[in-house]
Amino acid sequence: MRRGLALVTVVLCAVAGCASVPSGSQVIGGRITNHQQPIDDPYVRVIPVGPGRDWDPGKIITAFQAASGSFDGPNGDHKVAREYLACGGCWQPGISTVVYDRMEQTSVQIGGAHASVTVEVDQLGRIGSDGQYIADSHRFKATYQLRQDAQKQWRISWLPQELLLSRNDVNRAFRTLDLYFFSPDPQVKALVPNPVFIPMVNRTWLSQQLVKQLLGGPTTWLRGAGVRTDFPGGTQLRRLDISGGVATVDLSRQARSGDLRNMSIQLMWTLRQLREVDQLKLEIEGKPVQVPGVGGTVQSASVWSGYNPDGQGDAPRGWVRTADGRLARLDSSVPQVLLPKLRVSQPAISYDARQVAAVSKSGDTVTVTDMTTGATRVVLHAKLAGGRFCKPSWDSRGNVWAVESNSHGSRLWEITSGTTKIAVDGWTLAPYPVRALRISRDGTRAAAIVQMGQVSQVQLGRVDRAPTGGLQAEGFIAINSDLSAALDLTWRDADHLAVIGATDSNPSPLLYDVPVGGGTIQPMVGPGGDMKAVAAYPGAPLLVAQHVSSPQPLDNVCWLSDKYGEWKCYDRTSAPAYPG
Amino acid sequence: MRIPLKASTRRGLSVIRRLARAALGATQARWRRSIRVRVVTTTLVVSAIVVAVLGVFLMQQITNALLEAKERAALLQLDDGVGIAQGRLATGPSDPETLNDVVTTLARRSGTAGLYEVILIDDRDPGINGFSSNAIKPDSVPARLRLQVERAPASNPYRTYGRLSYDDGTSTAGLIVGAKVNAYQIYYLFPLTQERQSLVVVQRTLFGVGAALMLLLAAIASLVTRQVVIPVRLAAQSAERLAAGRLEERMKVRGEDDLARLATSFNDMAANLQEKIVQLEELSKVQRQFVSDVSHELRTPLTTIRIAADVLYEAREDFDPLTSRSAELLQSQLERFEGLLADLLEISRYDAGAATLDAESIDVRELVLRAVGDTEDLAERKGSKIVQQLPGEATMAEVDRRRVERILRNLLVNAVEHGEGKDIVVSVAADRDAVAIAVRDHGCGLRPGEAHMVFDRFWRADPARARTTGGTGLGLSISKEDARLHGGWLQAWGEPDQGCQFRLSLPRVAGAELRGSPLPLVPPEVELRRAPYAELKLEADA
Ligand SMILES: Nc1ncnc2c1ncn2[C@@H]1O[C@H](COP(=O)(O)OP(=O)(O)O)[C@@H](O)[C@H]1O
Ligand SMILES: [Mg+2]
Repeated sequence: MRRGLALVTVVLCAVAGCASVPSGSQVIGGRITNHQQPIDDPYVRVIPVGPGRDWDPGKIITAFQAASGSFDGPNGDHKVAREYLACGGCWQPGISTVVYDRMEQTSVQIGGAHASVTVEVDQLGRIGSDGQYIADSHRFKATYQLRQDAQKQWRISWLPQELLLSRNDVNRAFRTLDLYFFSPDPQVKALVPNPVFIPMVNRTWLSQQLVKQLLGGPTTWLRGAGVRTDFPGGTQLRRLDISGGVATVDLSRQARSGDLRNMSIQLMWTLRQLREVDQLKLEIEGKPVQVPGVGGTVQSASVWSGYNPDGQGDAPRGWVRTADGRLARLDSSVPQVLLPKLRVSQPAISYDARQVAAVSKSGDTVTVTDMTTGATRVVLHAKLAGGRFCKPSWDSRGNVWAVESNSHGSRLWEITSGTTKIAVDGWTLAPYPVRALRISRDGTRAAAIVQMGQVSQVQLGRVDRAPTGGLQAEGFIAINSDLSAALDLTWRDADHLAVIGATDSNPSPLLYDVPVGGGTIQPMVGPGGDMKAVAAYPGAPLLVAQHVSSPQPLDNVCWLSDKYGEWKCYDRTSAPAYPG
Repeated sequence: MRIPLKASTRRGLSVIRRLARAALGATQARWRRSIRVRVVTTTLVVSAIVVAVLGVFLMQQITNALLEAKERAALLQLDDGVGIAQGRLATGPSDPETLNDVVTTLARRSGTAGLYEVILIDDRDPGINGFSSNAIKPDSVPARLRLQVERAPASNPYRTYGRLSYDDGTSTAGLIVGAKVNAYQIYYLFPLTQERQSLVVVQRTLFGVGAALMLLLAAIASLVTRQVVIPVRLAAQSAERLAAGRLEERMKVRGEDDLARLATSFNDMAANLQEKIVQLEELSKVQRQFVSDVSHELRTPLTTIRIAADVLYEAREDFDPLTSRSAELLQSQLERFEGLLADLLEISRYDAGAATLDAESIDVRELVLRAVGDTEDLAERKGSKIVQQLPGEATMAEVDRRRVERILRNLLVNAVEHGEGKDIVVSVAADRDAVAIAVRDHGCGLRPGEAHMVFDRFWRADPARARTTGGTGLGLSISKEDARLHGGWLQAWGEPDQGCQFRLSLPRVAGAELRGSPLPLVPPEVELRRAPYAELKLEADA
């Protein structure tokens, strides 16, 4: 009897234990979900609505403008906005997109069953049908024709073919992503990013469009730089499926004749920008293909990390110029002077950190110094009247680029293998003074600050060979119309610049992150003083040279410690440099 | 409409049907015969019902608890969001960019797992009806909820369940909560995928556990019934064996439980029974011995009496009529006495198991002829004629000549005595294994039930008349024993005023087992008359 009672108690306790949650346990690590959801990084869309009853033409146009900011419908073809049109097919907004800042309706004329509305916008730039953004700020005028339909409702019967989107619409509805291509020089292993604007119809559409654009080749602008793509002409995307971190790309049969390795590299680098993609599985005509050098059909991103457009290996040390003009390396809290005899101004370090190119104090000669031997050679003298060199720039092949400018124009020089100087013939910026020029690591693009009248603009150009065989630097386009007074710039990585500059709305110079694709610039917190120069290298802290006036006037170079998010400075230094 | 089937299909179908019927029959038979099958099936059915009811109840409880928790969390999240939105939108009508920012902020708070989607409705700007996060379609907010939220005072939350539809055409069940902030409506849409998954896991577990429980219960029931049924089955077997005459059969007694008690009492019963039967056997043995002894003892004095009576009988003419009559009576009753004594001795020989078969191969017809010859005189006196129906060829059989002659003589005498002067038919027939001899008379016959009693010792239909006909009442008993000694049958048929037929069937080979008889027991003409058609026919003839 007593034993029975004890048993009942034990059972009851056990049952009660089942119904309770643990009040203590071991510490368990790991995420609850095993792979990243495609939802992360949420996006927001507007909910467009069709026209209301008895709206006047002005309201119709305003509402149409607002509704056309939504890429709704199965292919992002503005299904709802088309309800405002009298004709469904008369509007093909794929041609180009006008990005504007402010819009106003300047005139509304109504005559019987017809009306016309004129709209004026402050254009910032245009996004081409290939996704390339070109900053081009001017006033743009668009006229809309309307007519009344059978129910006496106003509908748009004629309209400009461009899609007019406000800057905010573009920020919301577009994503800037890079397409990756091979550098024209087969010796250079790094990929060249080609930033494009793709409308965010939805996540799957975005990723499909990204691959389609990659298959379609570089934008017309970058095509001029001669970048290589390994997808044979006519290759189509049959299917793209992203699940569990693996992107399965199914290409049409034309892809058989392409180099599987190179196609995989381009696909992987392009697709890994999407957070949900970690691995790639390449298929041709539905059959998985084995890519040479990869075990299994699923390739992980790390296999192709050697093609990083930002280069590989550890971030190099930064260099500065000390107060007495010597070159010092930032090894510890005190800059280390390595060559006591060398005096430099505006030093530029080669990618192998063996040579340093510098401009003489007067600014009219360029010298190259071998850092192992300490031997210095003067390689370039100014040719223009009153010509001054700005800071030279190295490319990854070991060539030095230097631009010489006076108040009327500029000339570009290339110094190959440290000795031979070549004047670059196809230099489209020749009529303008150039304040800074930096060649991208892959050697295909050049970022420059161009003085155009009162405005010093950030422009991006191509470096390539003319059909005649001579070098040329051409195709310069403005990438931003906000920055009106740029002082210095550097490449942060393959598709971002760090620029010290001022905007119209904020005249004091700030540090900006500028995507070369034309996306929105982001101000960064600077060290606080009067900024003069900036140096950057992927993975290394940003170096900013500044002048502080209190407590005493002083030049220093500061670096952003990523540990504490604060600026640390080396007093009495200037002219910061990283290899490049 | 019936679709004509191919012959092969039809055949296949019929085979299936037959198999199914056989299976059903087998199942029914098992159900009827086996307690265990019944108990296990009942347990299975009952436990299945209990488990199903319990499972449904549990499932409901868990679903409710899960959804309640979800609703609470959703309302808290919405509260949070409404607070943030109120902070940002407090300063009068806001431009689309602020709204966009608010939605982005709220959507960011949903986390990387995409806990919920946000929809902000703002119907004051032409062309735009608000903002939505990610791929959610604005029509995922049901009209009934929108109506409520629109009408309600600010920041009163409402919730409902509905389907969340997405741009890519998929949709899932979801919880939608909403509230009004200034002139705007904010909706949070929670997909219930996680909850569904949890419920599926719970459901699967419940199914598994339920099935396991059912099987376990069935196994327990099977085990328990097995423990009960096996002793019962053993008891049944023992009882069967006991019934078959194996009196030494006993059950094993294990333990002290009810079944052990059953075994003990069964054994007690068997022991008592055995004791009684042994006692009875002893008793009858003693009696038989007594009869045999008495018969033997009587023989010697009887011989002496017989000699004396013979002398008296020879000299009866010399006596006065009364004395002479007495001598005659003495003579005849002595003959009867001798016969009775002979019969008694014969019977007691059987009882003692001392009767032996002296078989030889003989033509049965010859035996019949001889027996008929012996009784012909008597028949003539009674006015009966004996008709013989014998087969044309010899019908050989291994029989004991003396015993079969005795049987036939007895049957014939009986037939003559009870035949009321009518014809007597003796027929013989044979097949591969057996021979049969039937004696048919048309006398007074037998009343129902007497057909078996005629073979009892000292049984007579009319005891009073018996004295005159002079039978001992032992004749048929001895004949029956004789037939049995051959491994044959002696059977009687009779109906009042229809006469009798006695049939003797014997195996052709001594000691072989008899399976059937070449002659019918009931005379064919009687059998025919009994059949309804035959009656009709008779009437028609008349
Ligand atoms: N053929 C028959 N017809 C009617 N009754 C018969 C016949 N044979 C026998 N019986 C009945 O069976 C009884 C027993 O017969 P049985 O054993 O031969 O003894 P017993 O002839 O000495 O009387 C007879 O008394 C008679 O009543
Ligand atoms: Mg008799």
